[in-house]
Amino acid sequence: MAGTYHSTDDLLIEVDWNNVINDSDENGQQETSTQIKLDPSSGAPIIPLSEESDDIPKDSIEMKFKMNNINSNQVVYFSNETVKCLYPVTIDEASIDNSEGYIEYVTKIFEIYDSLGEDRIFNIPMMGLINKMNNRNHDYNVNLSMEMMISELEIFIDKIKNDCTKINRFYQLENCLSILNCLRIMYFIMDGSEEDSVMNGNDMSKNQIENDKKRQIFINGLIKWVNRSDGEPNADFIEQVFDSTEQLGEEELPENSPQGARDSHVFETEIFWKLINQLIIRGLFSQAIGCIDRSGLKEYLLAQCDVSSNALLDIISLLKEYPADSLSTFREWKNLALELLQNYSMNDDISISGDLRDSIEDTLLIISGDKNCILKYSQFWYESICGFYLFYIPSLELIKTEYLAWSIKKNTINVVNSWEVASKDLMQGKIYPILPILEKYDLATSSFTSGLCQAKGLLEPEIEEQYGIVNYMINSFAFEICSKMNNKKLWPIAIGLICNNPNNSNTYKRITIGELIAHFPYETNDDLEWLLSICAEWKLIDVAKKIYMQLGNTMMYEGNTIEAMKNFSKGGNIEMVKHYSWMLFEASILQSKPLDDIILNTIVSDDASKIDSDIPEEILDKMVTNTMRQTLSPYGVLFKFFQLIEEEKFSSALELLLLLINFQYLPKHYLVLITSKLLYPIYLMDDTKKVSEESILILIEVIEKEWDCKDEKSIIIYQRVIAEEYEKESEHMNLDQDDKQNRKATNYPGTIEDFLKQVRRLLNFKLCDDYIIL
Amino acid sequence: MKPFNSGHEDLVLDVSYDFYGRHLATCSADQHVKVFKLDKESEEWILSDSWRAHDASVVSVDWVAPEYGRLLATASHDKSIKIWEEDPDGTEGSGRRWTRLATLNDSSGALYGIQFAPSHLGLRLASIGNDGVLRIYDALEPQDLRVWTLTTEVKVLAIPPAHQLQSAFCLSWCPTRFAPERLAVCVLDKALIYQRGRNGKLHNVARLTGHNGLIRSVAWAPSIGRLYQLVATGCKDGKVRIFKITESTVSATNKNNSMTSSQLTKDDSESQTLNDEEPENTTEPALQVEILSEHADHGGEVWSVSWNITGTILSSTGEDGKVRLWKSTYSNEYKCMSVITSQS
Repeated sequence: MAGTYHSTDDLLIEVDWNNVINDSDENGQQETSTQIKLDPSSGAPIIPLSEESDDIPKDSIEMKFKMNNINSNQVVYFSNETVKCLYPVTIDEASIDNSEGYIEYVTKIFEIYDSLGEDRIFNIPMMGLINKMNNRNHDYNVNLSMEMMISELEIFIDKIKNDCTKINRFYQLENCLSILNCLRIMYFIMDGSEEDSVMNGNDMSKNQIENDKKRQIFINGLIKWVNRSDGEPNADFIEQVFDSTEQLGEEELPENSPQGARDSHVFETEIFWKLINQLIIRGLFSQAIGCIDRSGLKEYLLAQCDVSSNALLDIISLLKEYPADSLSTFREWKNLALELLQNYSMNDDISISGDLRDSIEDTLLIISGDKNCILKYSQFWYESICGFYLFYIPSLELIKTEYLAWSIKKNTINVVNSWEVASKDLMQGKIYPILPILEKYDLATSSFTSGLCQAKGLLEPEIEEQYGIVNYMINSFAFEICSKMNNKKLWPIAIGLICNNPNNSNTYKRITIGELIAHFPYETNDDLEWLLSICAEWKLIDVAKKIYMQLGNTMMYEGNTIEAMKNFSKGGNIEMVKHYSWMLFEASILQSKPLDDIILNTIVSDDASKIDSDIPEEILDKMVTNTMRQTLSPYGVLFKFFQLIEEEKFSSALELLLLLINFQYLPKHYLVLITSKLLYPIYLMDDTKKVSEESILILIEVIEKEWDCKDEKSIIIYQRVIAEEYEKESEHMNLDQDDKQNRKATNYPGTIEDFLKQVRRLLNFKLCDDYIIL
Repeated sequence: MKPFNSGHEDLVLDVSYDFYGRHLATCSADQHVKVFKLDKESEEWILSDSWRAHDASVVSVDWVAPEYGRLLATASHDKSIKIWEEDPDGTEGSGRRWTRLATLNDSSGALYGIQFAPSHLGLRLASIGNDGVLRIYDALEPQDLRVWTLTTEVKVLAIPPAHQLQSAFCLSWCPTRFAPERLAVCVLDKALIYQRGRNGKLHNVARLTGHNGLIRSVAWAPSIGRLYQLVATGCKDGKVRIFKITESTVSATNKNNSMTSSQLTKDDSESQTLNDEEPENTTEPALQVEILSEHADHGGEVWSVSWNITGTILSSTGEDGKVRLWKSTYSNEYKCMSVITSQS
């Protein structure tokens, strides 16, 4: 049964959630301050802006801060005359790092959660044919996911355990692991197997085999939880136990005793038996047997007392044979333990000291499941819980009810260890309170844990409906990893989380992804492909267009006009494609030759060999859209015009020029440009170039219709033409600065109106010339 | 990361990061604008260019969305807004890498704040100054960025404040593409939400109440993953306020701070659309506004508020010389998570 929370203070908020990093060590490893002061008003940790902040005045300072899209680089500034510096600060969610290990861990646990598929949703079948097998499969899948997640966490911990810069992180993750191990044994293994065993009695049914398997998994999990959580008794302590008795003489031991045995009579000390019993209670049987072997007790008893020696050998056999995999065998095992206890305690032929006899008897009491003895030798509450389950009555239900109560009465919970508090909560059926504790240590672990708890049906639907805590945690994690803009590897996970979160509606998913994905820091073509595939999947047409426009502008900024146009075209911005096509057209006319752009010229050329282009057709097709082919066609005509001029085919070239001048969509200022830069110098000013009457009439008609001396763009472009002509002439004539200022382009009138008159006059001449020839 | 000298000879009045977070523009009372770029190797801000942008203090600077190119807008106490374009071929540090494309001189008072609209609204820019008029400009032809048209003027304040009095003006656009065009405008101690109506005009659809002093800063949160909006304000009365804004039906508009635009127009005589020749009779769906959080932790004037990219963390700075970072719980309670102090 899921637990409830008591106040919002207990939920999903930990004041040291994020770290503000204002410095980094020589290796670039970001380290948090070790001496953190707390803010009196909020209890939040206070971090200094800079070690060099002494110059900042203390009173009434106008300090401002703006958050950056990239979390790691933002500045604090002061609107104060005395502070001229900007202070960079980094705001990071402490548990999200850039290490490969972390990315791998998050990726793996996401895959685990993702592969749950439909099992991410917990359903209680209320009507129709209720298929028990389906429920079992669901439980099995969710349980397996939890087990796999714990394994991944262990692997991640293993990777960082020797990294001295990540000691804090190591302990945080170890805390997470302890909580997860407890959560798993309490809710992700047994699944009603106790009820099954009652129902089925002693039948060796399929259920019982399954239950026995679960029992083994449970016991292994229980032992792992207890022993990994505090790492006690550690090797040093064991050495201390043996070392403490080294000063004792060796003369009493038989000559063939092992070295350890000769060290001392360690088995006569109280601390030795405490250790042995503690190891047994913790389920560390092989370690307990190892300590007995090392102590020389077996040899000593063999020499001193047959009954005790046999009893010890029986204890060792029982421990070796502990039936973790069978409940029915456990009953027999326990009967044997009780029988051994009875025989030993009733036996009068024991010839060893009273203390040693009592110690052996206590060990026998423990393995026979004596409640008081288990409590007596347990140093911690969780030890006795383990001991009760192993030797008293192996019942999950009793852990939740009686064992926990007995244990914490004898050994109180250390509230400093949050894993202990969380474990107690779990045993009391409270799931919600562990989530903020996990969140404090690792956002990824807490988010996926909440998802698995929901999938297992551990969270109360009413509370979820009201507060949406799992939803909040999963989405928050997704947003956090996206906030870390410089870590794009985690973005697919964020999107996956939003998509797979069973609490999100499709509308919500689409809106959220649409808002989020536009911030994806793409760099490579692969990034872009992924980004656009997301847009396609969620039909985010506007976002895709926006991305193409961004790309187009980036390309334009880098000078790749054709690439830029392709992106504008894909972004649906036809106006921009048109604009840049005309810009290329204009640039080419202004320099009176084709642009030096092999790609562009290959696109518009009929014969690529003429321009030495070896760009394959298929690549060209990818670089050009249909819109571009259309909008670049005026440049294509111009390009051919220049080719014909080059080949001195002036009549054919003129035909193309007339096509351009007559083009109905030609912006009118380009009529001025074409006339002034091409028609005028090549044909009108050169008496040797003949222009047919028909062509002249067309020109006169177009000029009559389209030429606008008052059009601002026409005026600007004409001024530009004459300025450039003048510049060319100046360079040619090697004029000094004063001469340049006083001169005007010799062949061009100073105004557009005068130029129009000049053009008309020359056209008339050409017409007369044509008649005279006739 | 160590502090670095901005190089400004007077107060730094505003900073702005580009979309990718790799360029930082600063503006100052020294009339200059500086652009820094983030060095990929050293992760340090390196000066790219600096130039004199205005004839008086430059008070606000903003980057355009990247789909419109590399543009900066600056606003100044000289009453003008200038649009600048980066020339990628311009030499860095030459003072000529940024070319002025346009100067907008419509304000009759010193300008205080400008911000480009979110990109889905087009190439649009809003400004507010101490003449109390909200102006919105559009580049109707994005291929010609030299032409900006004043498309909307809204008189937010009936009478501009006296020059000798302290004043504050700021604005912030609603960034979501899934809501109508909206922006929060603060003049003196008044915070209003404007929304583009069906008739294409801006209407005052809600008021953020409770301010007891000049509103120094306003920030509209990115609403990623939320079906409601959040707006934060920083006020001279010492409080950081977070408002929750939800769509409201007309029937619910009499509650709290929301009202229909027609009601607002009648009630709030100070808010008039200048280019509105016809009487306003359109009933736009108004917004439901509720205050989520109010925090006086700075113990004095609050100078700035700003949200992170996902709208999950709010930062505030105040007279106590501290940056406070706020994060919400699942139940929308905001708690201070971290404090950065300027005092050693």
